[in-house]
Amino acid sequence: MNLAIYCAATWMTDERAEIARGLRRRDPSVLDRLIEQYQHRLFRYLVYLAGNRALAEDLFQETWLRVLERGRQYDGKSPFETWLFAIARHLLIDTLRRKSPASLDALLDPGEGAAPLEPPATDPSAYELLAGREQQAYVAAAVAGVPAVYREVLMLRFQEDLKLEEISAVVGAPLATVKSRLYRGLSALKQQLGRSRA
Amino acid sequence: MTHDVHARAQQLIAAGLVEGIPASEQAWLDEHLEECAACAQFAAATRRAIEGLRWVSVSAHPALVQATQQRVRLRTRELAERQERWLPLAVSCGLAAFLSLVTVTYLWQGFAWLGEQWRLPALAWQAGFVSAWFLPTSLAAVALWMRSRATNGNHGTMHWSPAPRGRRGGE
Repeated sequence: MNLAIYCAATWMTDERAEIARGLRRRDPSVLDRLIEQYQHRLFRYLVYLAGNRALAEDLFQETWLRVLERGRQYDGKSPFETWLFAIARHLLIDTLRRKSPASLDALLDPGEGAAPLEPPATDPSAYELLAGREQQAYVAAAVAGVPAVYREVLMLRFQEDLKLEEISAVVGAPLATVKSRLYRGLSALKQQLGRSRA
Repeated sequence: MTHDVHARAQQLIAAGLVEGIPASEQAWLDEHLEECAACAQFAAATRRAIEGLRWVSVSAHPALVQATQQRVRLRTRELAERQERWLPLAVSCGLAAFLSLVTVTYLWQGFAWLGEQWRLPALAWQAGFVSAWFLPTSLAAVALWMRSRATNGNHGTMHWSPAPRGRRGGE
């Protein structure tokens, strides 16, 4: 059992080191493979965080360009996805700062009654578009109703299975804040699910 | 059973999911959930909420992924070309800086001699020295800066089919 854990840990470290080397060399094959490997996870994170599919699509491309340009900064010590999500998050913040400062406030500084980061009225909900089945639509509507700042940590914890420390690194907030957001997010999600069911 | 017991149980349910709880706490919680229907219901609702998050499937469109890969490849090539262009320039700059340092005293003496020959005030030939020393470098720096700005400003989002752009802004 211990040997299996050791082997898995070694493999992961090797994998990260290989990614770091590839990014330092700006190796196109490594980047192609990373885009393939992380496409859904990154896109899902962006859709959840931005609450807008079109914006998520733009940021998806920008994030990979940023990965290419800043690849030398990745040292291979932390998981690649943590670094990737942090880049995507910074890009979204920069974009919102330029386009919609109100949405940025909801993302960076959640109050008790922080409004959810929702798509504009003319743009159908990304979640509604994506959720084909009835169950999915019901859950998607509830998730969309959770404020962005909580939705983000919930998604990172329960969908991406990141550790609390990794989430803390992605969102650039202390561990205690991450935990507090998770508890509040969980509570908000349950409320939203109850509301959707009603 | 007091209200505090239920509050503790509900706190542990959430804590178990968010950060994990010690085995002793888990054992107490399991025991409590067997006895308390309301807390068991709360636990089930919380679990359903978490499972709900996993049900929502969001995936990137293959065309978006391909467009991204293409754009990244293009940018990689651009950066490589730029690096190739910058290498000789960097070497030239290094060499120029080295030669400038080596020749600075001679240049100073040359300007001083010219000042003496033409009976110029000290400030005039010293200003000439400073111009000769800094002006070419400053001009080159400004030219390079303007060129790099022009090169960096021309990469926008690559469009991809099947036209998901129509969704934006109700177009």
